[in-house]
Amino acid sequence: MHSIENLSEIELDALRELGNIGVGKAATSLSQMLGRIIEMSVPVVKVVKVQELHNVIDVDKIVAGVVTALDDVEDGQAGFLYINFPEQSSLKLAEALLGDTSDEEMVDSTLMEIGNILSSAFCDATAEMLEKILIPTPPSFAKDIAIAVIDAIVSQLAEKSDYVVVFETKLEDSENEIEILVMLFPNEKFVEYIFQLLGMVE
Amino acid sequence: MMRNEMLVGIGEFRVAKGAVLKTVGLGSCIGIALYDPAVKVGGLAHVMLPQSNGTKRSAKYADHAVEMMIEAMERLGGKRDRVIAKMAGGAQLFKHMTMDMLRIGDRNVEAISSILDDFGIRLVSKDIGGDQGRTVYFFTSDGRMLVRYSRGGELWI
Repeated sequence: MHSIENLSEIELDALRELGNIGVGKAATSLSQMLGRIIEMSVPVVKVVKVQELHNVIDVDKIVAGVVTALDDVEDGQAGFLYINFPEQSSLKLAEALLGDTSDEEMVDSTLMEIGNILSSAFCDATAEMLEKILIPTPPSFAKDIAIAVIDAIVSQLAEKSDYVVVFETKLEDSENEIEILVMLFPNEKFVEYIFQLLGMVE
Repeated sequence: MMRNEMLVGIGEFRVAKGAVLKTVGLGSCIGIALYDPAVKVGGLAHVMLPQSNGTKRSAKYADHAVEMMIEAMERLGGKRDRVIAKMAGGAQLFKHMTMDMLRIGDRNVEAISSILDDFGIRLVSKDIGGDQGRTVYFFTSDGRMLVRYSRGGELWI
């Protein structure tokens, strides 16, 4: 089993590419749904010591977030996607889709649905690239500071490693009204996919 | 930022005499504070997992964190039979939840209570559960613990 803390630049690049294509596909689905152009930022991949996560993840602001696990149909969990929406963006998104943001429950469930669509699109891309079928679990929803939301995921990953890989990219519309942060937390199984991907390239 | 503040990262612990120990963003994780009031030595750990299973020592596990913290406090003059404990955290942040593993908060609370029992440490106060994240400050000068909720409001325990 390859370990997370020893990933080389090439391997991180492969992960970046895999994430890139996954989120790219997600951005396309979102722009179809919203009828607006959605662009993604250049993704950042970091290998972070768990103890230092508070330097990488915002600890001050409250965000609405959706968490899904990515399950490999053949052999178990491969990682987690955490999709978070700053407050202003969540209202804009709900407004674009619902036309009305007065019902908080409806806004929350819209965000969950968006999380659903983004994670399914992400899984489609990995299926195409790797011929690995990943299925996202139905979304779990929370509104809190990001680091508190993901600590249950991080705990899960921390059983295996003292490091986590964070793949992060931003989805934005051209009017700068909507901003969505997508984070991928691959576990060691996902890391195996990366090696597989590199094997295909060679 | 308070004076003499020391940050405790996820899965870490720190021990001090006089300083304010702080840990941010406790969701399902738990902040355990230990204190020896006689010599005013205290420690704070941010634990993520209930039990180690024979793995190498790491403060991410509650049992190891308590043990390591007691040892470090003893080096600063503390005595384990005088140590008391406080804890905060173990919230359930997810409103709609489909993954059972996200329910780790409850398991953490149960495990820590029994670990403290095993060490013979009295739990004097706690603030656990709920649906919000917490940031915790532990004042080693007098043993007070301040819990600040992410959606506002605070509590001294």
